[in-house]
Amino acid sequence: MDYNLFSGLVIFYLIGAASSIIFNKKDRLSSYAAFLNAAVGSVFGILFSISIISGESFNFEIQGTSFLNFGFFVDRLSAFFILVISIATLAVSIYSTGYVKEYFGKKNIGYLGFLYNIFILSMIMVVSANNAVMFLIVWEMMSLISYFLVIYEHEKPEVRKAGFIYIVMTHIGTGFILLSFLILAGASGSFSFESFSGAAIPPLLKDLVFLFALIGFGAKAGIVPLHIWLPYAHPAAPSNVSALMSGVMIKTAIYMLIRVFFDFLGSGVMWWGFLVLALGAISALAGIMYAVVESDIKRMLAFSSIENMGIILLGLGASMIFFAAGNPGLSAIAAVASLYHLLNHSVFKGLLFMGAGSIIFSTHTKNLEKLGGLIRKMPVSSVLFFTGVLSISALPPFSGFVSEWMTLQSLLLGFSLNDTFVMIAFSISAAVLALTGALAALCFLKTFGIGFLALPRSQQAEHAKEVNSPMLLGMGLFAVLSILFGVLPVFIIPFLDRIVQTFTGDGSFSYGYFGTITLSGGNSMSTPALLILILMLALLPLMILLLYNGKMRSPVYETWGCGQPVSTARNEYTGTAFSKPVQMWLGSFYKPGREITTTYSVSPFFRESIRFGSRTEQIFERYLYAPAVKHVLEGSRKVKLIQTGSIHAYLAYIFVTLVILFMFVILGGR
Amino acid sequence: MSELILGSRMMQLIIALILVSTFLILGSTRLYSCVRAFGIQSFLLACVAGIVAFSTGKFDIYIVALLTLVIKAALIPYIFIYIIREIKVKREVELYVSVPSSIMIGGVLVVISYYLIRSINIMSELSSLSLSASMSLVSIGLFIMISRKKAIMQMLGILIMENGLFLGAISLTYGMPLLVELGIFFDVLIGVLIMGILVFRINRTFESIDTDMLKTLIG
Amino acid sequence: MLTQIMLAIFQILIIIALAPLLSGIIKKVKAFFQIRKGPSIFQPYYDIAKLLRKDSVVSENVSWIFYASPLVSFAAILTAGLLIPIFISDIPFGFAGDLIAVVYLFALARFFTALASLDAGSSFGGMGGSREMFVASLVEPAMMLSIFAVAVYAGSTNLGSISQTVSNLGIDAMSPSYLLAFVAFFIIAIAETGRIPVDNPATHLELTMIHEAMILEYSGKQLAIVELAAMMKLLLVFSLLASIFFPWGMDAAGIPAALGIYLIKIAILGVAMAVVETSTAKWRLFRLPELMSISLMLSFLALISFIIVKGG
Repeated sequence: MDYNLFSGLVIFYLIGAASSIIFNKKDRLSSYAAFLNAAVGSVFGILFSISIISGESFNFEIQGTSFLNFGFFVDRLSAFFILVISIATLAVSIYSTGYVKEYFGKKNIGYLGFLYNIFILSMIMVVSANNAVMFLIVWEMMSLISYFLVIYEHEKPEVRKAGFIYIVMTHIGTGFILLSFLILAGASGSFSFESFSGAAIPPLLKDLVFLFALIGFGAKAGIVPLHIWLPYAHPAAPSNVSALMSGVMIKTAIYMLIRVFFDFLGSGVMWWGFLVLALGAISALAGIMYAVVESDIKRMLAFSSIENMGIILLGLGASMIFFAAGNPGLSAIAAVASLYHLLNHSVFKGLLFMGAGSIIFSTHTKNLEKLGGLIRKMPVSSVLFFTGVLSISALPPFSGFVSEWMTLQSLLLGFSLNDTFVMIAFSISAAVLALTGALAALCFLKTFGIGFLALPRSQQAEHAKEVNSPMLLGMGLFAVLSILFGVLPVFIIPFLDRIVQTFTGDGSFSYGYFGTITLSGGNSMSTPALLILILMLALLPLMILLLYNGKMRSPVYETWGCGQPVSTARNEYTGTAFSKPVQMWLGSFYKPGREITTTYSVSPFFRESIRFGSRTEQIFERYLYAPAVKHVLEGSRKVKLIQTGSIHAYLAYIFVTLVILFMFVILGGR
Repeated sequence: MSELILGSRMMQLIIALILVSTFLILGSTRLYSCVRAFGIQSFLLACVAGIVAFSTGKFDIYIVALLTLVIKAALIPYIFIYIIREIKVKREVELYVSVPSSIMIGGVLVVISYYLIRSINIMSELSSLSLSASMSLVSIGLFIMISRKKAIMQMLGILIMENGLFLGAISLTYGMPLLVELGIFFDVLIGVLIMGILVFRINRTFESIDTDMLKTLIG
Repeated sequence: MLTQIMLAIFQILIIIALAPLLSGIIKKVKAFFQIRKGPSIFQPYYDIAKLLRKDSVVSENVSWIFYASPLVSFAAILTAGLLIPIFISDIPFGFAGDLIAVVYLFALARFFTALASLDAGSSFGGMGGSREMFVASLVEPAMMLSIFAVAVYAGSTNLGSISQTVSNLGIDAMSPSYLLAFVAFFIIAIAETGRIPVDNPATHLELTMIHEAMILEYSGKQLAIVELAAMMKLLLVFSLLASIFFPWGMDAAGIPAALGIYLIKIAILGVAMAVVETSTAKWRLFRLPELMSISLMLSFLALISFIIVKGG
């Protein structure tokens, strides 16, 4: 049964990839072939993963040599990630059938469809690979294909630059992953993941494996300061691909981090957890701080992905600390919080990226300052986007609230360990998480308020039209899910608890009537009850409004501008102004710069125009990467000395190397 | 000390309030409110001394408490306000380190003091709290001296340090011998007076009490 | 079950009925300190009654957000009110959410109000919304730390059990960490309810207002609901302070006596707030980080002193 489902999944993605190439000349047919097959494949994926999580692990070997042994191993943890990938694929594929109409006649749809299917397949293989060699191959495949997807609109120079930064960062990451796997393989004598988990490794090497894996997978996950590719690559890719990359691809790194930390390295050391916790806190804060001042919607969403990866890592770090302290029960609670947020983030971030795609589809701009008034032009899209905004702002009873509440609670449970350092670290993390949450609310309030409300700020926004129904359907699926994940944690948490049991302990959650969740500390929360209360209590003012007059229609008049004559779009508040207080407050982080250029006619007393520009600094790029790149270039220049251009010199190099190797063999042989 | 649980609990509360007053000094940008917060701090310190005197029944600690009240909580703040008024200095505290970061640094100093005291490994919950508080006061006092420009704030900083030492001494060993204590009080008072005169001189020479001006004195 | 629902309804009615009274008391006390006679303490009731009789004029630019926002904020605040113990500690809907949920419900109310401020397209509305969210981001970290301080002290984040624990401790509850947390929480309460020195609720100067700027477009019945919601929030923040820090006398004496004690506690807090408001001037917006960093550090010290006293 599992076997059939798994092969079904693989086959449909392959058919999708092949058929989109076959129908390459016919745009419409090709897009349907690619995305509908992917959607069917994802349904298989959902069924497969649910069957694994509720049943037995899945193991499938393909015969090979002793070194190169292809095979799949899917336990509950892998199955959870396949589930996340498949849910995202289902919604995004439906959305894509509508979205790619944008490219009809302009770009090669078959190429996009092919890459799209192979990309999803490679992600599924990444989370189901059973040995290191195969893992590295599919990991590299995932990276390369996502690179090709990023540079899909390669005629734009900024897209090529984004692709370059992405491929460099991802390969630095792969290098570190390779190192950590080599150490593991050296200790265990085999490349299979099964042997890794039991390997006896000396503590120092364990620390090295941990650090290399953290850097390697951290580069993919977008942990600060390895995040710099994210804000370039995600906006550059087509929006449906960004939804997958931001929603799912970066999560595969979390999968491997869990695999390495809990499975391969066994019960870890305390400071690993603290390092992950600290990186999580820094990523969350830095990510959202950049997102707040950003006015490019997709770039803002990419920064917000960094923030959410930070929150996921906060939960993971807490879980590692509990695990190292010998408390698997609490470790499970923190891990559930982390995975819950991961699930939620893949849903609402996918939704928001698709929403951003819809905005681009109908206005052809992703600059927030040029939007406005879309709530009247695109009523359904705006409601769906609004659901995503409410979820990501962690407002009750939507999905982000549940996972943030659980993360905070698991941080609070740290006080039961009775370790001073844990208490201080956890309370600082909680304060950081609270600040992050508040800034996220500000950021997404700004995005929705400036982008969708009030009057249109440009011609494009003025003429926006509602997007087509497949796009609405794809977004609607995610919107429904983000409400369900918020309201029904009572069904999700036992499910996640089953998954984390494979690597931590039992979370011992208890569930009461009204979908109440009670944690082991006795703290309880029930989002269904909150939802019902809010809805019922909202009737009260509604009744007051109706009873007192009987009519809802109110006299309509122009906006009160405190005495200003007319209100037009030009005197609306802008997004930049909205986030200006934060920018001024945290000026030392943003290092804001401003320039004012004035042009004169005749004399300095007659100004023709005044142009004001302001920008913020990317401190990590400026102070970390720019010097590093400079040193690398300098080093390369020095090494260039050996590149003489003479063929004799090159042959001499080969000869000298050969002689040295001979000497090595002779001396080593003794 | 153990016979008076209530006394120990009250002392904990007062020590917490002493920390609050220290952070008020760190957090305010007006000279007057700094001086006022210092007065409150000294008053609370006198209360601590009073409680210790009451619970141990030692007569000389009562004298110390009274002296604290008179000299540190009343006389010295009065001298400060007199100085501020006489030299007509601008009433803003000028800072090298902004208020939010000063407060953060203060918090870090408290944590460090706590870890320091914990590593010495003494004992009862009260003395660990009061010792951490006293260490924090000393380090925050020093930090205030470093990070504030006005000469008056340097005086205030050294007095906070003195308060910290006093707090440590009184809560750990019920105070030093009366004679030593009297000497210290005399010292502090004379110190304040001398520094006050110095401030007047600095002000007359440079028309300001910004200690940055002293940089011009190098050869 | 039925008595539980009756209790919940009773609590809602109490909150709605008392909210304007608290505002009236604060205004009266402020007037007393400013040596004015001041309006009657029942004036807010008259104001709301007057607003309810008037038509709501609505801007031509607004969308459904503008209509929904007062309802959602009102409901979110009232839902938070059901999670806070007022006259009995074993509140009927205590299971539905804890202290953290209360904070997030307030955030929900604030989010919708700020969103509505952008809806009409006036620049003053946006200004208010932006500042409100800015102040909220300053408040939130301090708030979370003081919640942690309270929660580790009382061993729970459920408000009902916090009240019970603290009541049972009696005078023993007065520990350094509790004291520090209270001071921190009081500063947070000032910021959260938009009182001086953070925001001046009585101002009508466009450049300085925060909350008033956000609700500039509302009038008539809708304004009545928005105003009532703001008053309820003030009352609830005070009730939160009372139920965490002075929960004594809640269960012992039966509901009427408990209500009386509650009234006294709220009135005392209201007077304290009025004293703070008359004795300070409104701060510049960019000095607020200083205020909030004091609050943040006090709640951090509360946690530290908890750790010290417990001897980690």
